[in-house]
Amino acid sequence: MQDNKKFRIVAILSTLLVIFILSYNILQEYFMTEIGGYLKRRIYYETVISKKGLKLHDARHWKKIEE
Amino acid sequence: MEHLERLKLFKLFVLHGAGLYNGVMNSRVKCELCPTECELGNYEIGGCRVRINRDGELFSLVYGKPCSVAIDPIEKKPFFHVMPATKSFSVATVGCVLGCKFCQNWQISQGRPEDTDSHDLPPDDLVRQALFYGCKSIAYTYTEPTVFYEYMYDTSVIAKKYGVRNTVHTCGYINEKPLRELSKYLDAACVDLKAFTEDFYAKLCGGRLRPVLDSLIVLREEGVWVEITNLVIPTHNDDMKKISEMCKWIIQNLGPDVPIHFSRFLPHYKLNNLPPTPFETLNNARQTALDAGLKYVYIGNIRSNAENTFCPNCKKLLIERAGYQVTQNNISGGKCIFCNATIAGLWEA
Repeated sequence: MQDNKKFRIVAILSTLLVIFILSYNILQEYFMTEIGGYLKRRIYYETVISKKGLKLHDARHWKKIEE
Repeated sequence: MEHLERLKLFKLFVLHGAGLYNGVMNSRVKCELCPTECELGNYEIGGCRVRINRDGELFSLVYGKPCSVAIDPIEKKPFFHVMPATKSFSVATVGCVLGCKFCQNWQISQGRPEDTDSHDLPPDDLVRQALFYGCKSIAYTYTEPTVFYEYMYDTSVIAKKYGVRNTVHTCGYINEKPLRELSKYLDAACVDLKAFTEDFYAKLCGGRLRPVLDSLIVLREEGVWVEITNLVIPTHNDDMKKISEMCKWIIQNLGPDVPIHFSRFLPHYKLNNLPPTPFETLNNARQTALDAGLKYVYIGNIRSNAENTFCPNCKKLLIERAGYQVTQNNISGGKCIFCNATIAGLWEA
């Protein structure tokens, strides 16, 4: 492989890495924390709450009566 | 456990894929039951610890799952003007809309449904048991009944059909619309008016005073019998000027016939560094309320003459109590047997 080609590959990979790091830093602020929190809550629900045998009951009953 | 969690994470990412982001962002729900109005993300549980948003739908985790069931004298609620010497089928689930630092039932009010033992008691079974044990009323009490609103509502509808009265001991921290809806089936409410300053509610309860005052007015408008309890806590709400203001507000907005119970504070939960309320303070509060013009003023959590009911007209003893026991009752057909004056309350069982 020629040096020129090797340099091009390294340059492309470096650019991709920089773009990835930049987008990660920007995007994580918006939805990575949200998704992280969601997963934590979901796992807690699946492993603790639903195993306790607590039934879910519609909690908008009064609002439906009103409507 | 760690392995299981990793597996779950993997499963969630693979199964939900691209839809995950939308699911998370678009399924927020606002609970409008109490004035806190929690806005919940997907699978998030409200501040009351018993209401959960699952995929954009709000659910109760405690429907038909009481953690405390007991038969109490109605005087224990305390209701002093509601069917004296009758039994009340008392029920509670875990959870509360407030987080009072002096809570006397904090083990259950601040508990979570997944950590607490509960019974299976659907509304129809609850009413059946109340009837079986000869209870004239059902009391939604011990914790804050607002958190198990749907359970209380369905039970109230059935109880009313069978002639069992519905009573509630509440902090009054509930929004107007659900309260009006519930009031159609409620007979009596004992409301904890914890203090008469916003500062107290913010610092010690994590709530606000205004919604509680609004609830008292709504209950009055809806024709629900109201009694008020005020726990007098040394250094926090024992200022007689504020107590006087509170009593004047009650007279102006609810009338002088509303009974008020000044309860003795005993060290509990996060306020166990304070001493119990001295009897003298309670007596001063009682005198302040009487001077303001309230007709029925009681002292609770301590034995005294101030747990008896006196006729506001002839001043004679009407109901004598020893703790939760009624030892003498001189009210007949809602009137004083000595002077025939009408005594406000729900007297007939």
